[in-house]
Amino acid sequence: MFKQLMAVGLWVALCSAGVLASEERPKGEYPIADRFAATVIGTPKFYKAALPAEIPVKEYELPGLHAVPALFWYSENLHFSAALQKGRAPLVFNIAGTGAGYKSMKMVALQKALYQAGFHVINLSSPTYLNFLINASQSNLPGFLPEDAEDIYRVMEQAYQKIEADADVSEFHVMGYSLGAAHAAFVAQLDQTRQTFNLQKVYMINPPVDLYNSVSILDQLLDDHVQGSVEGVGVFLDRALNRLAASYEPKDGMHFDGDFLYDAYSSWDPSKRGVGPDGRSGAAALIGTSFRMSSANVVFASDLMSHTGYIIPVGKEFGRRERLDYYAKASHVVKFTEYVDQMVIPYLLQKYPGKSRQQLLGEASLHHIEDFLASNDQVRVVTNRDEIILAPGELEYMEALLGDRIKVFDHGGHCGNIDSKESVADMVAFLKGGQ
Amino acid sequence: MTIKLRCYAAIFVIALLGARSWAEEEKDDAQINREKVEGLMEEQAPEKYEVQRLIKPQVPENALLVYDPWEPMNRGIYNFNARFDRAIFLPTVRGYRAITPDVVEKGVSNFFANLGEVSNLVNNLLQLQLKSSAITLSRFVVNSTIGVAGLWDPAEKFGMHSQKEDFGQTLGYWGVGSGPYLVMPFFGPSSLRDATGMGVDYVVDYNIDLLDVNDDANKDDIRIGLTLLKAVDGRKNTAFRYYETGSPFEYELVRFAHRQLREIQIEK
Repeated sequence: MFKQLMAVGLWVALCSAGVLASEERPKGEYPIADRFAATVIGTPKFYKAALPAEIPVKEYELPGLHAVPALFWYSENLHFSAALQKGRAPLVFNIAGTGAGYKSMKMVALQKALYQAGFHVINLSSPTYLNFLINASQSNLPGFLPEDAEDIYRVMEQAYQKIEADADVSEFHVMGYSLGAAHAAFVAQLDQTRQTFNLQKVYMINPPVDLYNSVSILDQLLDDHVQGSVEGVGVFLDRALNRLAASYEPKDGMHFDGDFLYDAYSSWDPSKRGVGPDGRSGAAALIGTSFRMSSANVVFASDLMSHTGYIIPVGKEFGRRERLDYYAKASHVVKFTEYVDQMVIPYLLQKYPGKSRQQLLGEASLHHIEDFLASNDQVRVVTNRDEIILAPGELEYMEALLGDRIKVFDHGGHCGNIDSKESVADMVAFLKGGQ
Repeated sequence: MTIKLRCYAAIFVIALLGARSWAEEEKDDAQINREKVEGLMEEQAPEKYEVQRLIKPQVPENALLVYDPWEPMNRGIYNFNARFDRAIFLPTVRGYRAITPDVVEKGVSNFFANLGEVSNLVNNLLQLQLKSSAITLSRFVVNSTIGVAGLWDPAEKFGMHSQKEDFGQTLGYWGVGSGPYLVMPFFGPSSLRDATGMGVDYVVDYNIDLLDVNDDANKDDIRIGLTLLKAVDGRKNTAFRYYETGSPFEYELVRFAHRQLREIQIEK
């Protein structure tokens, strides 16, 4: 019986061996020319930098600044991670982008790349990430860069104390992507007066220039590309997922990751990839949707923590099993710009009497620290020609300000090429330079 | 046997404790402040007979909404799963990964996947998917022989990809709606239909008894051992971590994503 089975097995195997297809992909640089698609899909496997599958990462906790409400029982203490070298090495503080935690995919990729290149790496969540917002944001109203920088700086000091005994550090650098890049710059500037770390290098990946401009652009994506704006998100997601599933038959089952998206995307007729007949781009709609979701998280959590009463009635307490869907919907109606205008600015106006809204918004921008950026030759920016979060003129502004300390790739949208071979090589070369 | 009893007792106690605090934490309906928000709420507040609206063929304005009448219980179980995951499940997986060479881990995954081909085959047949049934049968034959009792997966290399189907999908294929959303202890997001399907799949597996366990003197111990190993292997292969989306609305997100994924799986 076993022999017969074996024979059948071999026969079936040989018959289907012809299906073994060898796939070739063209060599070259980052391949996705549509800036929205690039932002959503990220870097296809073939173009990714070679990174180790696993590195030794330890997770740590720091005590929070505030009492944690019952609803957020799962988010007590501030979490961060560190990948430490055995010997003496420079340490890089790596700050996440809007709404992202220290363990997000981009953060893990950067941590691996840096560790592989010989750095100690501490990964920190963005102040707009729930766990940071609850535990380490003094005001619980993140988004105002100078105050965010204070929070991050305090966390950096505590985090370093926590790992000091296990790491032999030669010097300190700071970096980040997206909002985290702006944070890195503000933190570095703050370090000039505080001098705890004497930070050497500042590496900024796809930073915004003026935060308010960038969030306006991202808010607008949802209005422009989703039919019916926020009310239409449900229908849009439903259709998008179904269209994706219907138009593309993957060979090896359904895995919803970046490569699945890229394969689906490349399998489509190029004329159907970009903007639809009604002028809407599915990728842009996804970006708008995901940004709105990040902002809804911030709105709800900030409101609950700081008792502003914007959505949640003051004094309302939530049980662990309470229905939240009404609050979820309410939070998703609020744009990030509205969060800034109606929650952050009123708090700041009260805290800094005499300053105007315009002044305060100006302080949440790279313009505010341009002297520091222009004069410090250890600051480097890398971004893309087709970046989506920059207002007209802002790329040129950075180019003029930084001269040869800015690298602009042609494609990649917003952070789509963050773990491509070229991007990782640039990062490592800069941080290693002059050692 | 005593271990089994103790497990049941533990689950029972947990369930009782949970049930009591659910009752305690049931709060009155949400109250919301702002005008604009109130307007929206009124427009979208679920009606009494929400089900009727949800099963309309064109998903209405509320596509994000999933029918979830047992929400307080589901949220309780979701939180229980999150705690269990952190305190017991993930540490066990870490331990398992630390002491087991990668080749062995892969072998274990393949082994259970190969056992799963039985229910894949049954359900592909029940859905009249002849091509997928043929592929599944071939996979099972190839992997059970050349792949040495399923420890390797040579069929994959020969271009025969796994055609996963379960009884929940079969029910869906024949037009059975998903029913209320249900979070199952230990297993996570499901629905009334899919939970029923899991039970059916289990009964089928039990009766086919591929490993000849039923006649073994130590069948209870073997079953418990296999079930635990399968659970650890399954968790190892699942990237999801509770409460790391950074969203206060994770429960709603997972509910929506799970429903979408199942619908797509059924269509395929």
